[in-house]
Amino acid sequence: MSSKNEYSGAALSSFIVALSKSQVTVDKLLADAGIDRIDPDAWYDYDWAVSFFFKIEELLGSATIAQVGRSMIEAATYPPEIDSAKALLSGLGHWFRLNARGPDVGDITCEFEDDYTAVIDNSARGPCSLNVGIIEGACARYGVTPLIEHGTTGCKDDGAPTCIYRVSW
Amino acid sequence: MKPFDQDGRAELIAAVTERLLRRSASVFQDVGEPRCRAHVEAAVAALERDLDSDSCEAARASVVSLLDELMAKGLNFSDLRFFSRKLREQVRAAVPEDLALAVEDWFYEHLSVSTMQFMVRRDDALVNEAAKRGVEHFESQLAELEEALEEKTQLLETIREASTPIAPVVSGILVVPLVGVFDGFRARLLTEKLLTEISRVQARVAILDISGVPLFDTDAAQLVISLARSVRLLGAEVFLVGMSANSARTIVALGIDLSNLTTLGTLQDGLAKALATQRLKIVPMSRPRRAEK
Repeated sequence: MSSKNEYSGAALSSFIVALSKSQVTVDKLLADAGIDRIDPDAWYDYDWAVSFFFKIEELLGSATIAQVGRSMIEAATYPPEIDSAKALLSGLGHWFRLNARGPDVGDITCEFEDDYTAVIDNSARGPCSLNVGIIEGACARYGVTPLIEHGTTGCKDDGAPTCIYRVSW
Repeated sequence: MKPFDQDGRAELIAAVTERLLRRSASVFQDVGEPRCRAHVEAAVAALERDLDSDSCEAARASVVSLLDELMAKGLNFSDLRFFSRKLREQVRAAVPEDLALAVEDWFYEHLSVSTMQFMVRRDDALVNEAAKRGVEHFESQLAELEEALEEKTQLLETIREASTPIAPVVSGILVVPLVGVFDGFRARLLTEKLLTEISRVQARVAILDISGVPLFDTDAAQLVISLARSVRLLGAEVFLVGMSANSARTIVALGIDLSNLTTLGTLQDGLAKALATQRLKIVPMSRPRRAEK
């Protein structure tokens, strides 16, 4: 296991691809960080990646970040056993661990209250709107429009350690 | 007929309350056991009253009370559905068979009312939020516009101040070269400044040079006439100089009477006449004497 917190270049690339309409802003932010392109095979500092996500949200708005989350999860490749919204929501933690590594990167867990209601606990750092977009994208991939409601235990955007979402469809 | 005996009722309320409190990240945990129990008791009491009266009026009241209190504290739709579902599970297990259908009808109505009332409140909250954001947006735009207006007003003021200089060329004589459009605002500004300056330096003549005014029309002429009247009240006189041939034709064509004003062709003419009124004139300086060899 890596001793540093890192974010995969592949995930960052898909994030940036999803922001192609705002290429100028993205290029400027990358240039400010001294990065001319994201290498999909490399790993990047997790704190930098998280601050990059927040900066993008600040500049382009939470709706854009949610859309990026949707695009990221919809565009990803999954094994054949992932064949439903329920299966994909269950696999969000696995998907996240493929894209982030280190002792303090957080996690995504999913529990089901019934066949059509999931409770997703997301302690991975980054904007809440990105998480909502990812959940929406996971469901949209299988033609489901979910009702996503934030739990009452606080939001990471306001400093809470985790965001809990109740997802119904 | 009572649907539950005393013990069964208490057990049912305790079981639903306990289940609500176990729901993680929910409003039920936030409000705590007494409030959860109160809402469960209210719903059970409503069920009993409605079964007794064969209506659903009490169900409506209990839903409204639940939403009024808990939506403000973060109740979401899944929580509401959970409340209804858990209550139904426990009630179904506790009521006698002959009341099962009536109980199902009541829960159907309870869920319908809950959903409708919840959506109404959420829509209302969204509309209010959108309106609030709209107001914030307009307020921020207004603040920016006010700031920009303030800056522009100050800039305009500076320009107007700079474009209305009053030069005390000789003791008792002021020269006022006007450049640019001479409008009401500028006339007021000039009148105020000129009267103050005339009083301050005890001037007898103010020479108004309008050669830099592109359009000298009826309005401008009336403003100058009015200015001259004010100046005269202080014992001074206004000489109007630098009128262009075009402006002169326009004034004649418009029938404007400037006979009460002293008008002269050029600034030099004006200055010469002003000096004459002061019993002064400009003369060449005497040549310096050549040193004797």
